[in-house]
Amino acid sequence: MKPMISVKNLSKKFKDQVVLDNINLEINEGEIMYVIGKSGSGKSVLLKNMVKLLTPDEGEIIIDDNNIFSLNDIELNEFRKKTGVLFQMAALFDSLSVFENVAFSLRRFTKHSNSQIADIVHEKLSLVGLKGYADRRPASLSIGMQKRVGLARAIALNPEIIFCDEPTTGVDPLLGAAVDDLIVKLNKELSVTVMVISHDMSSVFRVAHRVAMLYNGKFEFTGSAEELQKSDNPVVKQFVAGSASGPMSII
Amino acid sequence: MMRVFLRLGEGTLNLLETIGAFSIFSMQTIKWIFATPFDFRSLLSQLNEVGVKSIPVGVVSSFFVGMVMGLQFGGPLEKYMEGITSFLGGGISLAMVRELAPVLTSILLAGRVGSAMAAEVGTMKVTEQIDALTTLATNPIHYLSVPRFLAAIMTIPMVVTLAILVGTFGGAIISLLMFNIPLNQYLESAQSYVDLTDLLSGISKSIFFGAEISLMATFMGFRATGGAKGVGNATVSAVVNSIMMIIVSDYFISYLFQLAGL
Repeated sequence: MKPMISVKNLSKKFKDQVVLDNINLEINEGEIMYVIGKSGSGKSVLLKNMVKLLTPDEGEIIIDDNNIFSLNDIELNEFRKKTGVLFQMAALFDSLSVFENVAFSLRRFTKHSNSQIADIVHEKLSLVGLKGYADRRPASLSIGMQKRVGLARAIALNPEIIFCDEPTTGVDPLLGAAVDDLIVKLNKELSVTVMVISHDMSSVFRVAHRVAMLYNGKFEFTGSAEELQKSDNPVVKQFVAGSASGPMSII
Repeated sequence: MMRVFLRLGEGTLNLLETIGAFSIFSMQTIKWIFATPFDFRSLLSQLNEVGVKSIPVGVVSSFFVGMVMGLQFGGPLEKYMEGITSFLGGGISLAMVRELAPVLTSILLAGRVGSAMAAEVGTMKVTEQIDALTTLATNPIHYLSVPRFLAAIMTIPMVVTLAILVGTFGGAIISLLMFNIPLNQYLESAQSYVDLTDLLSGISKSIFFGAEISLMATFMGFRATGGAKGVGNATVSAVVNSIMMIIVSDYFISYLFQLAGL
């Protein structure tokens, strides 16, 4: 299978704190890759590098045969139109309605008529189970609903890759399962490559094709969800079991 | 002692870094004015926020400033300079046109408009909405700074023009009620003292002040970090820095205008 995303020798530090230390990762086309790790392990930093919100100190990220750090502004914008990002706290534009949030890219980057845009927005909102919420303001929605609107906004332009930062954190188990199902559905129906940052192990075992675990700035484990469950690595075992005692410190 | 020098050096470096970053931010805002797609909805919304909603602040304050000017010129000064009240129209209108309306209105709007802009953009920054804009292939300076900048340079001069008219009118009322100066005499005096160059000077200044307010407010919003406290700090910095910029630049702009014959 062709790698869609290749992270090569990536390092990132903030002042003296090394967050990512010469890491390598490949995500294949059409794959759902989960990156797990305890809070503060650098998962979100990795994601922000992948969407070029941060620039690494060393290394490169190749997405769809392009080194994203060598793209000029126009090429970078074209790349961004092919990707969707769901932020940890949804990051909806609070001055806009739910409809306007989902329609944001459609209005700016397509030549669709208003009625076509409305159709697409309602279709995406139905997909995330929020039909009838188009006129609401983000502030009047629960965080779970905001995340689903964030997902609808991320898939508005039918991207080839979706990056999700903790999509099930802060939502109830039923809703978490619904978000997981949605990720699987998008992956299957639209052949979207998905990278998910998470520490929700039930979600990992339900959805992930492959899993990579970040620990101390490096990948401690890379493999399938089954291999993760059977791993003898004490760090991986402690994380999967959710145990307070083990080689990994809680703080 | 060493610590004092270290602090001084650190402070100077921070100041220079901020000035440099602000200059780059300002140039980028001007560069992005001409980029597409241009968001007219956002511009219209900002014209309303910056312009229409600022009219009451500008009008009420300048009306009272005009009246205070009338009281001060007409009362205490008449004791020392007999007949000065006959020049009230010229004195008040000239002061309103060249300095009071542009500077005072801009300072008030730095508080009203600058704080709102910095708080809104700062909140967007700390809640990752600006990152979200970037990932949606939208340059945050283009989407957030450009409409605010254009709205400020278009509407603040309009509010200042209204402030000039209302302030002059406020002075006329006090002249009539307290010093029995008829309206036509007040206006004749105003006409003989104020010409088009004075008006051009005052209104042109307010374009610069509008630019300073919007750029400083959005710049500080973009630099907000660390949640609610960060947004609060950004808002305070935006207002204080804008007011300082208005006062300092007022001197230099006035000096340059005088060299240019305005």
